[in-house]
Amino acid sequence: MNRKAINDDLGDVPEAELDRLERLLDSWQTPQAPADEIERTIAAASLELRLRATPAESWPQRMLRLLRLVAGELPFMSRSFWLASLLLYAVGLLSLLQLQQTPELALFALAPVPMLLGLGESLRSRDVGMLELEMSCRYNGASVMLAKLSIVGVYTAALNSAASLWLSGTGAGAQLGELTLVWLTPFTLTTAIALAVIMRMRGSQAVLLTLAVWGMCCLLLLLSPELGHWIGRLTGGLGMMTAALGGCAALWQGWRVAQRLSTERGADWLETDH
Amino acid sequence: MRLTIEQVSRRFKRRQALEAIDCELTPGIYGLIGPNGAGKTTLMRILADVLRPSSGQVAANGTPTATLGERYRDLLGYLPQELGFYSYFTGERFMRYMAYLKGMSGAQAEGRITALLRLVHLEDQRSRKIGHYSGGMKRRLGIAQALLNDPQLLILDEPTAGLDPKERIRLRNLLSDISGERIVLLSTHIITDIEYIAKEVLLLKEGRLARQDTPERILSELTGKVWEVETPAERLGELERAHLVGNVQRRGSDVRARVIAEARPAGNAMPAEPRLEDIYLYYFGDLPEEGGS
Repeated sequence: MNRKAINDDLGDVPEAELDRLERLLDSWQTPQAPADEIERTIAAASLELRLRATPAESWPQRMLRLLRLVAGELPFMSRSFWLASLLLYAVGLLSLLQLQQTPELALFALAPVPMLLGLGESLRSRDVGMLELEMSCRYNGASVMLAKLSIVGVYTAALNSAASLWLSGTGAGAQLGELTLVWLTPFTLTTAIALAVIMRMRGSQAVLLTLAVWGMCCLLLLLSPELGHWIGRLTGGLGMMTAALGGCAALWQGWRVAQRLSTERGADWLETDH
Repeated sequence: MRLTIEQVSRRFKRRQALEAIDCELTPGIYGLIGPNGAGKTTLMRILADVLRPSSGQVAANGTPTATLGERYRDLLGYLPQELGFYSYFTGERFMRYMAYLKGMSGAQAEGRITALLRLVHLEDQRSRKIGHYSGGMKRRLGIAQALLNDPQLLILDEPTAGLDPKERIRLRNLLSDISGERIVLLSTHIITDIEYIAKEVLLLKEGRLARQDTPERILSELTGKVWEVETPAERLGELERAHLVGNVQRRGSDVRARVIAEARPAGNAMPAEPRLEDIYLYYFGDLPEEGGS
């Protein structure tokens, strides 16, 4: 502000008073800060601005972002997984029905298959060595894995629901509600078991192992009509209970997988003893 | 940005990988050197928020990174030592995926991906599947993804592994160019990678920070202690038993050896200019392994 502007603002202040003020101000020294200090201040301010531009998110915002993450992950998932699981499911279902098996047994046997294949896809980053990189990103490894697991879970549920709808409409005598209960139990329980296994070995190995064990269980069911009848019991209260139990176990195991990544930060998955 | 590492330790089941690391990093290039098992990768993983320390903390401008969480990860670019890829991704799809994980919008990512792929000479290969890339190309792609979000902190674990000499020089120059307002932490076994560009060198030995200083000051420590000795080949063993011996060059029946010794190791020993490689030998008692692990 120059002298004229000051005069305009302080019109009634005597000239001598302004002179005195100016002399007073002249006696004050403002030393120039060292260049490195200025640079440090600018760097600190620019970081602070960058941090403030992305404030910490609230829970609803986080959930919304997880949904966006789920949607964003879709185009990056392997196309061969979608094709292979759909083909395997459809061919398996038709083949089992051709073998004169009941719709309940067919659904029961195939219900967890897409999910099991999807677990391998969800944990592929760990198998191929990309997990470490994903963990260093804004959407870290745990969120990415949860997003993929959610996608695969919804996809499997959609396939099973579509098959239930189709089978209940074919006049085979099965009710949609009963069929839903039949597939929910193996879907949730095997998912929980597979997630527990997957934490202890490579994703692809865990998937193969779980699929093999599940295949053998289904073979036993096919060969033993007594055991096959047991599936019929899953359509009532028992079915609801086992499905709820399986659902809780699957959610718990999924949570443990995410926890392992976010609290231990991959101590076991990334870092061996070196 | 100021990154403070305060009393950071990390213990694995049977082994203490890092022990009370204390240091402060400000914009510029830092070279992290040390033998295998010294804890370089563990320290880098902790700084990249991939691994948590058993005790101590890392703070960015005074705020613990554990508090900042993803806002801290927003500031960093990371190239791990062992980087795997989805082989069915093309180079471009991989970059898009990484941009998406880094929270960048499609529009933001578009121009940046093209510019970075051009920078690492992979523009022509952008539509090729990564499964068909060579080791050096994968490394360059890894470097490109680390720069996607214009990071304030760039952590590169053995970035030059698998690169040819020309690419190494290009990377060195690139890092030198971009280091102005950001922290670049670079671990390498190839000392020449950091010799001319590092603002400071961090020497890590058995999980402890043995030294943090400018290359000039560290080198001055060795002034008058580096010698070149020409001796008959059969006497080399004797020389090795008595002193630290670095590079050995055969010259007919004789050898010319670089020796670190407090006093003149032999009558014909000539004083030599210390290099960072000599520092490595001085601190770790061995030569750095070319190519890294």
